[in-house]
Amino acid sequence: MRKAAIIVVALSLVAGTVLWGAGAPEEEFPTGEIDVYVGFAAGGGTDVLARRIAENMEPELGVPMVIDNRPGAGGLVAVQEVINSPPDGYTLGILLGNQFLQKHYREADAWIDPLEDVTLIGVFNMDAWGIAVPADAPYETFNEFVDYARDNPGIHVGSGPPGTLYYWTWQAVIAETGIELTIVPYDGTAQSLSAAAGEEVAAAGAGPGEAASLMDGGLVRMIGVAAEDRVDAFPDIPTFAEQGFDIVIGPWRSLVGPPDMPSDVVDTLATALENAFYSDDYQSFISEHGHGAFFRGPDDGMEFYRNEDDVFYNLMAAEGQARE
Amino acid sequence: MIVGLGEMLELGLPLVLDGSVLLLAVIGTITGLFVGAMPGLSSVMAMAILIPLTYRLTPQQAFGLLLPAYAAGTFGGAIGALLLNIPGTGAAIMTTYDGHPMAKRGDAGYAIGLSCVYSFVGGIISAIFLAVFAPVVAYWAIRLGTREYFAVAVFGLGVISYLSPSLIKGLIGGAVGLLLATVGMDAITGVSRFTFGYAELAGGLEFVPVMIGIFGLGEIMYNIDKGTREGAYLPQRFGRMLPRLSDVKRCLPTTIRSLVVGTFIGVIPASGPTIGAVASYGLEKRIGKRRAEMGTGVPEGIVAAETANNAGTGSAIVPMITLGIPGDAVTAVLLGALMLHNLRPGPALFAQRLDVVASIFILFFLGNVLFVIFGLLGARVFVRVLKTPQRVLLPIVAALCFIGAYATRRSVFDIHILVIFGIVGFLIRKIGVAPAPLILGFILGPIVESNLRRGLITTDGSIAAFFARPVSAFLLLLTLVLLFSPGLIRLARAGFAEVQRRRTRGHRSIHNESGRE
Repeated sequence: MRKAAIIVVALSLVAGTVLWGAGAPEEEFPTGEIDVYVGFAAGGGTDVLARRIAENMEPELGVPMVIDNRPGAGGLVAVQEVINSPPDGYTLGILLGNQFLQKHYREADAWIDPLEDVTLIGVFNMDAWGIAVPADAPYETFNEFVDYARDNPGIHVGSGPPGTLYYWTWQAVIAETGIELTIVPYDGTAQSLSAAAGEEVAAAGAGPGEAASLMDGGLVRMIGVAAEDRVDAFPDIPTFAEQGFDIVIGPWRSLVGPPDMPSDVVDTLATALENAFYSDDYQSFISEHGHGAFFRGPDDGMEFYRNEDDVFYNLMAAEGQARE
Repeated sequence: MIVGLGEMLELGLPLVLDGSVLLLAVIGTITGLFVGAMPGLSSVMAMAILIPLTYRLTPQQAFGLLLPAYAAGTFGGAIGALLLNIPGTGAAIMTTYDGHPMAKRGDAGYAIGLSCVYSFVGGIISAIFLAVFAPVVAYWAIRLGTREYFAVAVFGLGVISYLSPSLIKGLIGGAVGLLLATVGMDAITGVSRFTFGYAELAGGLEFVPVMIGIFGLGEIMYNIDKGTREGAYLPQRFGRMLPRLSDVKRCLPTTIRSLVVGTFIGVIPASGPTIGAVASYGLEKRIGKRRAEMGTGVPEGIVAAETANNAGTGSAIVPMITLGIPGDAVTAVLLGALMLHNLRPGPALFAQRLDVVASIFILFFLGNVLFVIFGLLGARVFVRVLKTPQRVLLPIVAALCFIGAYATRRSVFDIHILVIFGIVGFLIRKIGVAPAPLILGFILGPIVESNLRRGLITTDGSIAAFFARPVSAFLLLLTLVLLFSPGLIRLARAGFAEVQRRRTRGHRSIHNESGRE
């Protein structure tokens, strides 16, 4: 029973500290620890990237950056938490590209609009999306895949859950090629990849890093990545552009804060983010893990946001699924 | 592709036999055991606490902490289940059926001993089997798809119907669970269902607060309603802990069946230890020798549940390490830990870093050994919980429930969910509906629904295609057979009796004829 009492006390102390951390008065920003909300569980791709970039920001800011995992609703819960915090720079969050889609896609009003509701500090990563096919599939290249799909209209392709970026990427393929596909939504990329490995679907959308284990196992092949250049860690996979198709798309991650943050605080954080991005530690980390290096500061980042927003709005509007 | 155990030991042991790794293994075991056993705190939460600590450790240190915590957490769930009727993890739900009645009789110590030893048996034997056959098993499992996931979940749903003494009440519970599972974003079309504008509900009702509410708060309220007895929660005699030889012998067929079922189902991605335990218990209740007594506190019930769920932990690791496909939430976390250390799971890992693979299996093995030691040592302490007066014990457990519900996602919304489902848990007990069918319906609902619909898309709407693959056909037919077996047996008996009667009548008539002669 004493054990129980100890854990009660310990956990309440932890909870207390977490709730306390936010509201220190600032003389010269930052003076206290900065909380970074991550909307995905510890150990996932977003969590690992967030921790690595935050670690590299710490030396410059001189305060600890504390990662706080609040998974739920595809990361939306954490972003909402950030939006409702005081805009003093001590509460930040990670926004994932697909959270953009919420505004156009969902029917409820509770969702966020990243163009209005957050202050952008910077985009610090963009991964390449790609197409993985069963190892024994009759198509070797993306062109052959397109021809195959023309001959067999409505073939099944695996995607992530509806409304996520990995679902709409297939729409981008359809829009660019004009082929007819039946999209089968799986719970996640791991599941849709295993469906491709088991030949349940003709292809699955995934980043090369995610498909790497199954590629090693000789169960899937990748016929293209939707990046501007080939991915460093996977030099053998051609881009779609090389094969004559203009498809550049992928999940990106940015550091954001509540709306209306003071500009000096944004500047301090943005400089720290930029330096962390170019640090050797972060650069070697992302290239080793097959992530994409991609950076946009607060201003050109907003421009990037608007472009992405248009891209997805058009994809959804073409499907009749967009909401004004 | 089959790797020798000797080679594995040779390569892996030097990595594991390191002071810091062993120390972390002990810490992981104690954390897993403790968090798993605490009603309200779950093994997912244990992982969430431990993972960030591993980011700067070596792979062996990280896995030294995590794997023993995973193994011990899955066993630890049984302790809350049998002592308080509040399972610490989803995988321990089936342990409440026979574990708690046994503890009520005053044999809580023996129930813990049984769970501990058979969790160990399940974990170790599946680990050895899988260490040797990992690649073969993984390549088999990757061929399984949507239709098999559907079939295994339907099998689990079938079990719900014969869990409860009352068929109708069991089905009511299961149906309510299925209904609750529909909350959240539709997995196929993305339409929001029953979210009432709450973003927190977009991903569905969170499992941990629902389960803690139904099992934890509901049970507490029910106990208070029954009237507080002064003195011990449940009087205990402190007898034997280790399983009696007679019980070991008697449970041997159950043990073997549970090992097979737990390992087999655990390997199927997307199922994990919970469904393994459900299927194993359900099978025992239908074909076990003591099927009539299941649910009254017989060792077979505990053996079936605990052997299978820990066998499932071993097999869930295999698809993860051989092909990078996680079987459940915890193995997804383990996968993340591997990637973090630049170790990409897959055949390349087996070819180039067999030492790492071997050390992972050895650490899992070590985790199983450690929890059996700490579990048996701690059993007397755990049992003492039951000597605590209710008026002291119940408020503490209630506090733990609130902490557990909040801490998993650190969300106040989840506390609301907890309270609502605490009331639901209380009310269903009042009308005699058991909580387990409801939670099982809630766990299995999304798997059944999304895989059925996904399967129908991939087969262009053909139901027959679900019977066209061996594993799904086998599981679906087995479900039907087990569902209707009592009726079929009765029919068969009646038919047999009829044949017998005819035959005797025939004999008689022949006799008569011959008599007439």
